[in-house]
Amino acid sequence: MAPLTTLVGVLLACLGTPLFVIICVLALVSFASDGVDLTILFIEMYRLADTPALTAIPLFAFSGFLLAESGAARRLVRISEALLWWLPGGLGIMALTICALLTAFTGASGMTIVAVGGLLLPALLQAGYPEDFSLGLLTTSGSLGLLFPPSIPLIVYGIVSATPVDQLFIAGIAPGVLLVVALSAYTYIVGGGTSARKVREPDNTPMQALREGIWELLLPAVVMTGIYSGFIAVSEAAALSALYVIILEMLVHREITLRQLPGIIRETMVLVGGILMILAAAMAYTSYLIDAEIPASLLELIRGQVESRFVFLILLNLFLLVVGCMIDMFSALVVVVPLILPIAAAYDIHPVHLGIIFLANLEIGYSTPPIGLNLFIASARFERPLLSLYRASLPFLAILLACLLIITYVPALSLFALD
Amino acid sequence: MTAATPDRRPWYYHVEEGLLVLLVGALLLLAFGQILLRNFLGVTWVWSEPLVRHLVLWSSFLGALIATRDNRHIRIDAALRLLQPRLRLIATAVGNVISATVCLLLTPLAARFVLDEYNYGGSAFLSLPRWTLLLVFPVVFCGMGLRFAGHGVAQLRNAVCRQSPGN
Repeated sequence: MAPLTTLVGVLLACLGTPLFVIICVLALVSFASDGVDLTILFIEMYRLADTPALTAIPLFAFSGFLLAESGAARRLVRISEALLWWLPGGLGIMALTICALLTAFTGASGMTIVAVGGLLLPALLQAGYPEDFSLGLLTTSGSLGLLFPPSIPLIVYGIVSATPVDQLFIAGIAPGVLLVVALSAYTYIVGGGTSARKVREPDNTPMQALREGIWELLLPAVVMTGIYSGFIAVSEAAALSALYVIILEMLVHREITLRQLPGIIRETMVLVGGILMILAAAMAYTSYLIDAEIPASLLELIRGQVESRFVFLILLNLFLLVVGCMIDMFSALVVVVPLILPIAAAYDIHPVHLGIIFLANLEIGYSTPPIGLNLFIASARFERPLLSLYRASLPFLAILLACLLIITYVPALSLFALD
Repeated sequence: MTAATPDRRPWYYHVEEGLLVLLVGALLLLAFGQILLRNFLGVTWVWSEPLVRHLVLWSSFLGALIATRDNRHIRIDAALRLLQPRLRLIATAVGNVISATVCLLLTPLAARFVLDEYNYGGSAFLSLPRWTLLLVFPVVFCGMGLRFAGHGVAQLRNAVCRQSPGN
């Protein structure tokens, strides 16, 4: 039965059927074959309304869309230019950092490439960076930053795995910094070795740039201090960040008008609605999987084959990389996490560390040829053939994979800051 | 071939989006208000937290309905890209018809879920009867089903009509 339904699911996916429909089909067929009353689907979906972290998703997404729509990216570029122009590879490094910061807020929706790519690609090319390098950098940066708070995939992992979201937010920082630093080191080498010029607009002084952009620069700090100090919950931090961004972009910078707000709300909720439908459908399917003790029998199976933790982690990484480039991050999380969680526990892997491994893999899978999502988005955005993006992203992928090994085998990197 | 498309969208597009803005606006206000009240006045309304979560649920489902309208649900289109345009159109149409079937099959189940709650259920926050909170399920699934069906039919018609004249 199970192989057959999986086959049907894959077939439906190839027809471009929305993923939430596929998960609903899997749940329907599974429950029906067990003769369970099918209203259970909606009883399970309605459990979403009891999930405390749920509110954080639309509120953080709304902040992200407001930021993307405003001139925040331009101001951040100016700050980094004013401060880092003298550094070899400075422009590339700032491109990485800005993409990472924005992706933390906008999630893996491709918003980063769409919103900032058009600004950064011409800047990189004009400064003399090789085209392949610039394209690869922006493509892989499209999902860089997913380990940083307040990344929505981290919140979804927290909901699905019943892990505290604030712990995940803390655990993601060091591994996220590792990824950014490693890519920055590569950029430093390339930037120093090529004809990349060091440029700064003469009127862009550090003081001037900081005065314009300081409030956006402070946003992550404001949000995170709230959470880490323990004064407010994650959903409250999300509400505060939305309020902060509304005041900043609508009243201080006056770049977003009241008339634009309905459009921004619609865009936000189309994305969030898509995510929540998948989450709702997955609530139903997961409860079937657990009732049918699928994770337990999967564990039996794997325990028989794989003895060591070391080998299990390698297999997990390979599996997740493939999943990450095949399906979207949210479906991957909601379907795979409940299956893997008990197995990982049996191999003594901390659920928070598992979450970071998951996200790091999915992040890299997004830029992995042949069908990583970032490659398609970048191909459309930059009007370059897909094949040239495959070539361009390879060196970046190699570096990210090396970091992935560190993140996987050094759990302390994720866990040292907890407690 | 087609006449100039009128730039006025159907009235229910505006209703949907207006309702969405209202729900999200209420969500934002209540979420901010909750923090202010609790931290500065030490007041907590017991009903505000569940209401906020239901606002999230309703506005997200409405967002999903609009995503269906604009063909923007999360899907995997890598395989479709390999097909020729006409075949791709047919495959997408089949996918949409299947989605329509699934959503329309789920609608009566959702309706029964509401009905069960109406008959036997209790009340939720602010002594609202709980079944009223659940109405969003049948409404949105029915709406999505009709929309998927509309897309599927339009695409099939397109695929049939688009015979290349030369060959």
